[in-house]
Amino acid sequence: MASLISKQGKHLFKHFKALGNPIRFLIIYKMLDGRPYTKNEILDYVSALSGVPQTTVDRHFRTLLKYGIIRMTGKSHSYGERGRKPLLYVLAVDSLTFYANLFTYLLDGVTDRRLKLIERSVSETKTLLESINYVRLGLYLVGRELSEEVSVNLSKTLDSCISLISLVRETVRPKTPVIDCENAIKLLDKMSSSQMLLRQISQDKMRELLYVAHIESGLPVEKLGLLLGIKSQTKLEEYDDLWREIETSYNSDLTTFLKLLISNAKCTDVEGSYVISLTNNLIKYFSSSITNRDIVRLILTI
Amino acid sequence: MRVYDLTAPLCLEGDEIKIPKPKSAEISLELIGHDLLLSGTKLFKYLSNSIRFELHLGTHMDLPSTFAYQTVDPTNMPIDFFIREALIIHAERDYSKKSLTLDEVRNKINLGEFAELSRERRPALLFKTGMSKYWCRDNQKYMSFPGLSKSLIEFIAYELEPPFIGIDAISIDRTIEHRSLSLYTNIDEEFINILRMQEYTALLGHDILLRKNIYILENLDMNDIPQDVNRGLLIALPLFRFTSLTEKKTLITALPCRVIFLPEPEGSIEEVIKKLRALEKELSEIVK
Repeated sequence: MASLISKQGKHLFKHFKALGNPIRFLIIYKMLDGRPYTKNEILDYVSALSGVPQTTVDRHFRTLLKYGIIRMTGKSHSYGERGRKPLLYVLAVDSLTFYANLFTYLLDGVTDRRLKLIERSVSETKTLLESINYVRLGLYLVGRELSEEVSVNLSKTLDSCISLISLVRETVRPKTPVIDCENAIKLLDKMSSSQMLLRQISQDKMRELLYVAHIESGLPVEKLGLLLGIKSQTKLEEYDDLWREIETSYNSDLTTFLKLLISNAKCTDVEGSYVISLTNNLIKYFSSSITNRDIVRLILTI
Repeated sequence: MRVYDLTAPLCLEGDEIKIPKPKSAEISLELIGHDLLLSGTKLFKYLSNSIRFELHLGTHMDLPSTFAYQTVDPTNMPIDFFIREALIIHAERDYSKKSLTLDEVRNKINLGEFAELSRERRPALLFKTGMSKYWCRDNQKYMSFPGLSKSLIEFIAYELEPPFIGIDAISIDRTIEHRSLSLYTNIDEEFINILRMQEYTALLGHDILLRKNIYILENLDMNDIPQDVNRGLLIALPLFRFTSLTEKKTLITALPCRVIFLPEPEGSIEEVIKKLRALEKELSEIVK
């Protein structure tokens, strides 16, 4: 039997077998973006999602490691809990291409393509940096001959770029996902001031993200209502009631909505965790939808 | 807008170029023409000068090949390397006794301006010591610059890592031949102590910086730059452009430069440039 199966076929079995268990499936799906993860990150993620104890996840993780689906890449730059640098793991190259192709086929092209996005945005950023250099050189050489009006206009355009790009930095390279509340509020502020960014997000998507944050943080609906500036006479019992209120009072204007959220938010335990999880979810969403191409266009119009 | 010329002039005194002692330069005037073969008379005559000098003279940029570190090929250097923003550190004082230390200039340098940018985008760092007022006028005094201290040079090499630094003095190091005791009436106690401790290594500062690929722009003339100007665009273009036609390359150790400085424009444009700088900072963190 064994001799009849080609080497390639055995390889295929291995890949499908790895997907055969829901826990291994989750591990692979998490690592599909091609980034290195520490073991703890994977264990936390999978056991939180599946409700399975970490030891079980660890066993499956080691199985994947043994059969070469996952491999080690090196050590993390930051220190772990015990003061040591934890090891980093990635999907092996052939399994990465196999699973990426498989999921692309199964999900009609909706897989996590963050890695390619990063590569593309890095090269775009480089051209952008060059153009910034030329603009600055020109400004130095032209000096005071520019009229006041032109420079004020330039200044305004750049203002919108800066907030946008600092956000892109978070989305392209989320080295530190937002952990503390003040940073989260700052980021939300940047998002709210950028029309270009808010155009990317539909009202339904926003509703979904708010709901996810509501579930994740465990913030009660009444408190959430206060946070969003709803002082309703009727009692809010479910999230849907709240959303109806929001829709009627703000008339689907995301900017004022976010601004209100920022001004009302106080970094207490529950509210803080709500803001943090909302910001993280927004960043995750933008990381798959935003590119630097729009920004390049914006700069080149100067 | 004022444009400053930071190139140190070659001062002519009669037929001689007046420069500090160990260096030498000659200038001569020649008649160049085509010989008319039959009659032996010269036709199409014109006058020309020839100057013979070492490359490490006047305003020049020391390359790593000075110490045989062949990390860069000067024939291939992109032109935008020489055009970049520069910060000026004002450190004018009497340099007859002590070298320039890190403590004196540390609070004038903002580490973030360097660390947040990727290395090729960092600004250049210029030191204004006020020594350039002695250039041509009192060469002995000009040569007696005690250099930058080792701590300052190590700070530049390992913390700031600018693409190049500039100084308006003869060198960033004190050199032993110019500082020998017989030449000077006032005794340099600091130097004697260094000698006594046997810690003197000739051109150590050069070695530290060039090993890290940080070029050194020496012998600038920064007399005209006022006290309040500390940032601007530096254009330090090499006088010559070399290309190599054969595979075997000649080692070029220094590039004589013509250096021009444009201070940062004031008013609303200054703000625009500041914003561009912030933008650059954000972007180069993505590229890093």
